[in-house]
Amino acid sequence: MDYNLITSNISKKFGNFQALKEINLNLKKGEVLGLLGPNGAGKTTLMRILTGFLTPTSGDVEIFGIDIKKNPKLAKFHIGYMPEGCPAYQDLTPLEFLTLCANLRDIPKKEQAEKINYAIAAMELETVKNKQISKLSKGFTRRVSLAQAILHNPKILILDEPTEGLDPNQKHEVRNLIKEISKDKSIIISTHIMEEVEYICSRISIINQGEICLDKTIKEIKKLSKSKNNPIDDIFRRTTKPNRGKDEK
Amino acid sequence: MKNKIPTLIANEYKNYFRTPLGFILLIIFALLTNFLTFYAGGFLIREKADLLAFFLFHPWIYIFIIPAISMKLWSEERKTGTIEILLTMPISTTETVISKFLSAWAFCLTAMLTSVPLLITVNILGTPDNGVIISSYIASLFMAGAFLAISLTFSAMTSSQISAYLASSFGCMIILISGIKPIIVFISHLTPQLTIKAIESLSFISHFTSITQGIFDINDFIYFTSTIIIWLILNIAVLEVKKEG
Repeated sequence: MDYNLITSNISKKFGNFQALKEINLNLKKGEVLGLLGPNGAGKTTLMRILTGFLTPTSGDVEIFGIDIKKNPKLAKFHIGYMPEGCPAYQDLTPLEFLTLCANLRDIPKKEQAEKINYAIAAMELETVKNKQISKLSKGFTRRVSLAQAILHNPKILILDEPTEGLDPNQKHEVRNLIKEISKDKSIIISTHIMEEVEYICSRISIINQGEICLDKTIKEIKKLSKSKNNPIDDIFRRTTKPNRGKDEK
Repeated sequence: MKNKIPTLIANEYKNYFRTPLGFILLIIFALLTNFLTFYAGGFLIREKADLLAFFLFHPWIYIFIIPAISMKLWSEERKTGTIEILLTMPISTTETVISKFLSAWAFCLTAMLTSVPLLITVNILGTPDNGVIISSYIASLFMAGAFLAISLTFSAMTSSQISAYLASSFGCMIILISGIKPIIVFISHLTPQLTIKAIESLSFISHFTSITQGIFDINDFIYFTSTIIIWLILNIAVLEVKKEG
């Protein structure tokens, strides 16, 4: 089986705290994986490892067969990443920010205008493209961050809560866009919105206390659940309930 | 893959002027250097056609100015989360460190250009040894680079700009004052001669002063260059350690 992304036994420790334990996650072309889990389960840590921002304590990440530890520059070339909190350089305009990203992403000068225009149009940033990012609303800032992730048409897209803070119309458009571009990509989305998962994702991995406790397709989840209306919600609660109970104490 | 260092340098350099910070730093540098040159250094009273009074105070000004130039370079990236975007781009950590250093160094050069009127004045009023002046400028720039490399490393350690500033200022001050006479006299009672010589040789002030007095020794430039390189390597190491968590 050809996988775009392979992780083998990824573990991560921060001091004595075990953030991730033996994570094995593979992703094929066209798959949209919903990474679910309670707050603090290890989703963001996993995404940071997959993008090369953090180094795992043990285990490997391969992007198209390229080991991200051994050849980070080449591996990162294939990844588009929208980090948690949608960071962007506040003193730049969206146009300046995307131009900077295009240069850092090795997009040839003659293709830059076309790709930047595509990202601006896809994220509906036309009206604000020359305004300083610090002066934009949270929703626009999030779309700027999402625009930089899709700018270079990456084969692997990793999005940490991409629709958080968007209004219902914007959420709908972003979900449609992700669905549309997912055909030739492998996408990982972290989210707490179950309807979003059902709409966009083809597969779900539930991570709890640093371990993957469930990895199934949406169809399998529906078969597994007793709830007809909210099968994903039902499975999520059943899988992660003991942990949530501890948190609440 | 093309070299992205020029792109990053240009962006970081422009950053100084996207907010008032860059202009404020340039004004403070120009005011401080001119005030100290004319009043504390007695530029006019000395009646000598040189810029010794100007360069004399550079090490002390740098203790306050350089950390302000470099404090946000890493700490702001960490605080706002843009470090995640930067370090997940197809760029190496080394390239980002070099770019940030060179852009800040270029800003130091810009600050130094504010003294051009003083250079013109001294050439109109007399016949200075411009060779000494040029080597002093180069020495000052190299010393600024060394201070910058130290401050940049402290900036990489924290997400708080004020912590980065204070730690850098203190670190630079320790390295600077270790070479001044009262400190040397004080520690001479506590440590053997060999240690004192080692401390003295590591101080910025002894290397800088000899150049401004017209003693051009390549070892002084080698010293500043190696200090820059060592601290930039430390900066890369700090970022790599942070990746480990």
